[in-house]
Amino acid sequence: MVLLYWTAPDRLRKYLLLVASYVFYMNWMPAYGLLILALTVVNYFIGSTLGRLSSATKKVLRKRLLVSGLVFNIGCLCFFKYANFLIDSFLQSVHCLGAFAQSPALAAIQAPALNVILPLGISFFTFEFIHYIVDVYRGSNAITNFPDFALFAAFFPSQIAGPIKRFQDFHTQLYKHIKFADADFRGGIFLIMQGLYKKVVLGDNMGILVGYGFAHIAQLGTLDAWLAMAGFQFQIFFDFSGYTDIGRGSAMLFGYKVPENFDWPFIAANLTQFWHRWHMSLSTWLRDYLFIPLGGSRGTPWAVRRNVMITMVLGGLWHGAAWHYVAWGAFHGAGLVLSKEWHDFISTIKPLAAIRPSKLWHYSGVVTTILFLFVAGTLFRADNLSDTFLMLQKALTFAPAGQMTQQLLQSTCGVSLTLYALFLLGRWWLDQPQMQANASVASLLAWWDNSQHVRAVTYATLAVAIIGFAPGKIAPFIYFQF
Amino acid sequence: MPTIASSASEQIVMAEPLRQTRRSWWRVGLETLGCVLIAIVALECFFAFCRVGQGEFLEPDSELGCVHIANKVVTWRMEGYSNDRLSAARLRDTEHTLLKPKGVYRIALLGDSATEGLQVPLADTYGKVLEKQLNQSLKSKSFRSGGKAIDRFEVINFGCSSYSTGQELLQYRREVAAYNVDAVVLMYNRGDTVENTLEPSKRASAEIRPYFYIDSTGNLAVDRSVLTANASKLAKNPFWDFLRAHSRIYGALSQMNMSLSLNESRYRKLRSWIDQLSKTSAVANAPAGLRTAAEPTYATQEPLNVTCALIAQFAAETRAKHQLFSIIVFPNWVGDPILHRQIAALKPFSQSLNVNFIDLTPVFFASGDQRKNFFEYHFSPLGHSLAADQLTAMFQNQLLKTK
Repeated sequence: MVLLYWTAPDRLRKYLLLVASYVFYMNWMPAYGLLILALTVVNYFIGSTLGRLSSATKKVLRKRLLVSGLVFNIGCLCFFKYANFLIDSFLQSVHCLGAFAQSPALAAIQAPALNVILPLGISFFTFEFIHYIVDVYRGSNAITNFPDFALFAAFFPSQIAGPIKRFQDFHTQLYKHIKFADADFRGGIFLIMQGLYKKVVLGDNMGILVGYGFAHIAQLGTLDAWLAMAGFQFQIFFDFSGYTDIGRGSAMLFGYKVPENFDWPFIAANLTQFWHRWHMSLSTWLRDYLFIPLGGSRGTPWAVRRNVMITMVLGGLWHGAAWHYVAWGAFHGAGLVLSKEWHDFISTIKPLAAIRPSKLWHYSGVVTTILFLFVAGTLFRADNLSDTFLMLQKALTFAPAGQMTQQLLQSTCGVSLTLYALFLLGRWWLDQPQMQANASVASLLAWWDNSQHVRAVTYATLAVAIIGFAPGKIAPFIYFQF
Repeated sequence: MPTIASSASEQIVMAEPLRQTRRSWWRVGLETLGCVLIAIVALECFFAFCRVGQGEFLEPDSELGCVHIANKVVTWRMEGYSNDRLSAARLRDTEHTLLKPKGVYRIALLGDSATEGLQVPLADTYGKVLEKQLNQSLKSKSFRSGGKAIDRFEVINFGCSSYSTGQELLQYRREVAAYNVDAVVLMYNRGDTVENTLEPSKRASAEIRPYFYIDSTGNLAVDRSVLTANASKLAKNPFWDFLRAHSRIYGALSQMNMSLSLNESRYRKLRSWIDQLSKTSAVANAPAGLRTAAEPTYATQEPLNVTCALIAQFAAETRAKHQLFSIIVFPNWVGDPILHRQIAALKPFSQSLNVNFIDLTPVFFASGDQRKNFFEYHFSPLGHSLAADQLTAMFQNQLLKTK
């Protein structure tokens, strides 16, 4: 595809990408190609109509069009993602009511389950559509060329699990005369290899340990429980950031740039910082299209707390149609509110405010944030709330290490994590000003830049190493289910 | 693009990029070769250090389809974990002498991956646990076999991944006989019945192994046509054999192939398409007389009848050698209706032949949470231990009887 793309005439390239994106999507379930096409057509129509109507004279019509667009997109998402969850939750409530009121008729109410298969990536491309029509409503220029809009919606490197693109950034790239750039191509290959390493070697191997831990909670020791909780947080990071790297790398092979999703999230000193570094394309979307329209940080303290809670609960629900995702969102919301309250509180106490700039304070914040994430991750990963509580109980009461610690020692996780840490250390070291100025390092880097054959052998070696360290069964990307 | 430099220093600066871009082909070739060699050596050393790429443990065999690689160190991480050396006699076991020492009661275990037990350390396999338990029981009880006192029990594990009952019968004839065993335990697993016989129309895509059928006279017969058709793949090849036995890079790539074959349907389709293509061209290039000579003609078999015939054959051959023959069935812990029907048919049949028949299902269910007894498909150490307990009880019972 890459070869075909770069050898094709410039004007045909985006059409090639569009066809490839649809082939990629329909490869999974051909019928759902029509779904993404239908959503694209409707949103294109809404966007271009909103763009044509004057905001001064057709205010009401524009608003109606926006609301119908939002209802259409959210309706589609709800139908495919939440229909069974809503029916089940409703029935459970009715059954509880029936049991409480001792009414056999209420307790016996049944409803057929809808046989709906969740379309891959629907949560991501629906959010892109919502962003598009809202921004056009707010005054951005609509995309007037349908193939351009269709490519924005279906662009395969970000189609299944994001990053959630902004059409303004993507659209400008469509109008640029994209030339083959060796640096972009190399960067793309590098990102793909890095993503594969993160996903296959780190994420999937951790996933095996975590899977064992969460399937055998009752048998875990204290250390096992902590390993399972920490393991999941790192598993999801490596899995998702690996996917993002592969997606961004694939886009770069075609000369496109899609946004970054992660920025060293585990060095965040508080939850607010964490959400500025974790799944950034989602957190900025939630900020721009949910938190701010709800009132954002304006208004009374209680209004702000309410806005944070609503945003995070809906963010949790976005991840999946299950109550433990809602609980995860609520937990994060409560964490954000408490974190803000705590910082407001300590600013009023002089001795505490004085030590706030210290490193000790910063690192204790990092540790507290990570511990919070471990607990929140358990809510996210466990099948139900009772498993979460059992895991926390195991973590907080002493029991000798069990099978999981042994499995960790037998796995390749230790070596592969050490290698990754060395790689990061190496990159940091090379980025230091004294290294940049060092002539030998510069000549070594220049030699590397000019030696395509050496790079090819290095990447092939890395690919074989990834294969060697890959677990027996490659798990699907965690975020594919959302 | 040629440029005119105004001074000597400028000439040097201009010459630099030209020298970088105009590398001679032989220099690039040598650099590439050097890098490839360094990469291979570095990867092999690194894999050895990390015990990666040591999952390759089978090699082709013209009679059985595949056998263990002799003396191969295997590190298994696909499900559970183990790091042991296969024996010189190609067994997932310690070394055993062919000559049976006096007073030793030898038990041969035949079966597939469940018996082989690569998912757990060798000491935790049900064979080793059985041996340990029987020898421990000698301290308090005395056992006799054929009128002779037993001083020690020795359990030999012949289990090999993917083996069918038919392959186990051939293995029994070829390998077990030499060890002069006193008892044979055959582990039956759900897939065995399907693997024992071949639907003739699926011959082209069949797994490489011997198959069995009941011929027109009602006798059990071997269909070696798939082995014959793949003779070139099964033939000894010093280069590939060396890589298989010693290269961890080969091991990693082979493991990826196995993993993709097991888990990715598209990869399986691609492989079978390529295999089909190569087979078609091989058949087209073969001399006319050889194209159909190896293929026996028989109707599609009722698989369970073939399995019963194999068990009857096992029973007859062990009886002729005065060996105690027993069947142990892998627990139906997922409630599979097919295995349930197979057990319902095989149990009375085996008992009619006076063969001990142990279905592990009730014992495993009685043990409580099944997740403790299995990793994913195979026994965990606890599962092995439960299976060993059943066999220990059976042997104690049998051997005390013959006192």
